[in-house]
Amino acid sequence: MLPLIANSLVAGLRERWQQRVYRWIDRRSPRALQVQLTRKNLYTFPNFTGLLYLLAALVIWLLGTNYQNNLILGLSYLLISIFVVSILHGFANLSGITVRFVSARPTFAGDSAAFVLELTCIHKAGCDNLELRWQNGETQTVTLNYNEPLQVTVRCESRTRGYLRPGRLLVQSRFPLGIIRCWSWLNLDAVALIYPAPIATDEPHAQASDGREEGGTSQRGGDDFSGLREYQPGDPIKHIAWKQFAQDKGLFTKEYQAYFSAEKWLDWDSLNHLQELRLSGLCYWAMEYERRQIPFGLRLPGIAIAPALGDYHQQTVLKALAEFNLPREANHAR
Amino acid sequence: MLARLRGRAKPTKTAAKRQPEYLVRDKLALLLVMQALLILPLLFNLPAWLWLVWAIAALWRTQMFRGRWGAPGSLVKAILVFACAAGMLASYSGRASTETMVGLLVCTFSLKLLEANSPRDAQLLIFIGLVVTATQFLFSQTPQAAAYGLLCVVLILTTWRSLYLTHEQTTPVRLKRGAMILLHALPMMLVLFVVIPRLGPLWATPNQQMAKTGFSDSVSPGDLGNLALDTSPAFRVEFTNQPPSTNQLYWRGLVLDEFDGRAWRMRERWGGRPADLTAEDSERELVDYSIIVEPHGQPWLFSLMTPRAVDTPGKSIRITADSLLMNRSPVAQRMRYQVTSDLKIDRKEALQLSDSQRIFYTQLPRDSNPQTRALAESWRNQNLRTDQIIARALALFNREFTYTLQPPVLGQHSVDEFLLVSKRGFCEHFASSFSVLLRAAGIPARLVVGYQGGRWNPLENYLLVSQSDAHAWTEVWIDGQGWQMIDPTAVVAPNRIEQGMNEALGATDQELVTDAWQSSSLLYNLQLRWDAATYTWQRWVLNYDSTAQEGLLSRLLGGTETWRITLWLIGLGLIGAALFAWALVRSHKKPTNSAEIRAIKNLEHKLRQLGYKRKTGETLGDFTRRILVSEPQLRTGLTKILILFEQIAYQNQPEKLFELQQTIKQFPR
Repeated sequence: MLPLIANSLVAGLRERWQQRVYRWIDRRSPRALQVQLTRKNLYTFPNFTGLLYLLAALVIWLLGTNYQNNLILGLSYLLISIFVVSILHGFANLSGITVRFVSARPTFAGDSAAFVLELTCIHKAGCDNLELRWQNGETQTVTLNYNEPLQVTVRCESRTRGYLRPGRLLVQSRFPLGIIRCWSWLNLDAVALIYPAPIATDEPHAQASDGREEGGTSQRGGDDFSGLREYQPGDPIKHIAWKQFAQDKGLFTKEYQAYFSAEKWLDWDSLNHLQELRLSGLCYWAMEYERRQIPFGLRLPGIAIAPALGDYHQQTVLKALAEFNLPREANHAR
Repeated sequence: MLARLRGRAKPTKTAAKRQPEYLVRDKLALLLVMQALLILPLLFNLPAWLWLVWAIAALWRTQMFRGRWGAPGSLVKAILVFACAAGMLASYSGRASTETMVGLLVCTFSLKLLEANSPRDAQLLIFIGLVVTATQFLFSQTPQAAAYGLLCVVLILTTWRSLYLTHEQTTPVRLKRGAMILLHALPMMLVLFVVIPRLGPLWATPNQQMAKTGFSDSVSPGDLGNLALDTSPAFRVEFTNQPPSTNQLYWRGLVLDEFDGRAWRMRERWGGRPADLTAEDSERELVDYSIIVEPHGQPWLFSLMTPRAVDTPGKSIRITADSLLMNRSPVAQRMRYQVTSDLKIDRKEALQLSDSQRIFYTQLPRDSNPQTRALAESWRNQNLRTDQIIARALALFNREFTYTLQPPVLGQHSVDEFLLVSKRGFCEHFASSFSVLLRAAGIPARLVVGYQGGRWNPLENYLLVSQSDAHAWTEVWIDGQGWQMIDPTAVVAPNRIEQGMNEALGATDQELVTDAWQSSSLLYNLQLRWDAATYTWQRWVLNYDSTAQEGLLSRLLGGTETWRITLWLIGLGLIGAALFAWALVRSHKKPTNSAEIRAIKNLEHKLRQLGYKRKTGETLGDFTRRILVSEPQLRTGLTKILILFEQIAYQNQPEKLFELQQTIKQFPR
């Protein structure tokens, strides 16, 4: 029991300390799209391995002192100097790097959002073993060459729909000897749109939807293959007839036929759940209709999007779902 | 887009981009090479089976990497560890010595290789490797050993850095970068070495097993003759003022006062305190000198008669009743000490030999060397005075004796055989028989062993005393004068004392001692130079102690006060920081513009002089059109430049570059 309390106490203290550090960093570096690493925002400190290293240097110093051996003493002083030099090299490795936020792909809540960053290194030796990580994300290790901008995707877990601010970006390196950690917390102006997580619910009550047995019209799209036609720009890639393309016959698009009623409406009122689950259900069906190539429209309180199909339409619908009735601070994040 | 949206699989791990969990080929190879080179010099000083331990570990690890053998199980590991421990126990019969410590370290270093799977393990190996490098210096401290140690450090840094490297780099480049780290660290290391105060040993360390060199505390005929062939250095002396003349350079090491008929031994183990000798200032002839003695595994040290004061950093040397220098423990490390000797000392009333001492110093074994004793007793019966007996004895050597390195082997009554039959001998023969003669005649006498003379090195102004300078002579008690030194060898071979052993020997003997080095003056000079370099190394690096530190600091900085040193350190730190900042700024290069952009910048410069400034974000085309509105006469030139630039920049026609540059150069004509 006692260790448990102690653990939670330590965790709490650590959390508070972390918050305090973040606040301090935020004060020092205002949010920006592009940040350059300089002596103002780079920090260095020995890590655990570094302390072990100093211990080894101490052991060697004791050996030299007890045996009154100047060469061994000299070696221990050399190790101390290498420690200092490694601080300088580690700092030089990171300094001058520019980090720019390029874009973020929208994703569904619960998935990791991919933020694309562009890194440029303006010192000749390049930059080695550079680790990038959002505050609560997974680490990405990259190498930079002089004057070769590199686009890196750094992911961050998303929890709820809306706009995701990944927080501060940790840029750190233990190069060259792993005994010194040189790092910076960057306050990048990065934001990603997070759609609601799709959850299969009952089909929203579809207005005027009938099966084909009730005399529906045949329309392009659907599950049944009906033939090939010449490719037109804008056709979905997954419909391209790759087999024919591979046979050098040219680029064709496979056509599908389906029988369904003219259009479906994703109606807020047709589902009877809590708000978030409703949005998730609408999201699921939006995806489903798009997959089945059934034109669909969206009706939310105060918003109506006319039925249509295609990537752009789907994005509009999903964005509307993501932005619907966001809590105030989340809206503020925009 | 849709496909990506639907592919809601869990985020794929970018394993390839992460730091590898396992040691990859190049890192493992570097680690193996590093380990081999680190252990190599140690294996010459440690039991040979350690070679095997390392070879097994290295082979096994290589096979593990190639996927041939599996990782050793915990049973195999336990057996290996147990075998190593048992081996160390057997090799050193359980004694805790420096060698045992280093041997265990080498075992750990080798066996840890079998467990080195991740970079983290490799990191641990690196740290052990640093300590292993340090232990190399326990066995050898020559400049070569130091250079080898630095090489090891470069190799360690290279391997170490490679663990954290995320892109491909060739081995020479890696070595270069590793060496750069060392190079950058060296200046600070030098400052630390010079400035950081030296402490004495913090606790007793296990003694190193020392090969004993030089003479021992028992001298029988032939012992010193063997040393005569050994040209290795015994110690080096630097005199504060003018060095004394060669015939005064008798470096006393041991006093042997017990004779068993053949060998001289030491009865008393250096007890007592030196007699308080008083002398008028005018009668003193003080010599100050410092000696760096090679480790010889014995506690005694060397000084000129009579040492009055001795100083070492550890205050471990004292002066005995026989005016000898004794160290607290056998000399296992090269050490430096400072002595003040009084060459001329008046002890008229200072010393009295007690009756028991007089009996002791005239003692001889009853049944040995009867003929010598008979001769001496005949002198005694003639009621000769002490000085007359000494003169008789010396006169005996004057006639038909030969100084040689190859004396015949002597039997039980060695003195009889030498004095009456062979008459050929080395210094210990003369000193021994002379002492026996005097003792038999009732005069207190004892044998002194040490070194005589030395070779002057004019390059660094010091005296090199080699093992071949080992010498034995006699000290005789003369009432009212105390112990007086008499060297019977000087009577037989005066050259030995004046010019050194080589001059005193016959032609056949000379061939024995003359090696290739001494046969040519060029080589001799080289040897002199090498020894001078060694001496400098010993003085300034190996024996840089608190005394030397104080001297150097006050010479360099003008004093050794704390504030002064602190100020200097701050100054040096600032210089270092400035150098670093300068290097950093220099390494930061703004990406250079391509040649056509640079040409356009020239053009912009010219247009600015005409009063047109290109706005940020304005294309070159817009800019030109804006100018042409008010400056139509520039149309031909600007249009040509615009077309050329677009061809180069967007139509991949770099061959037009020269034309563009020329046109801009001539613009606006």
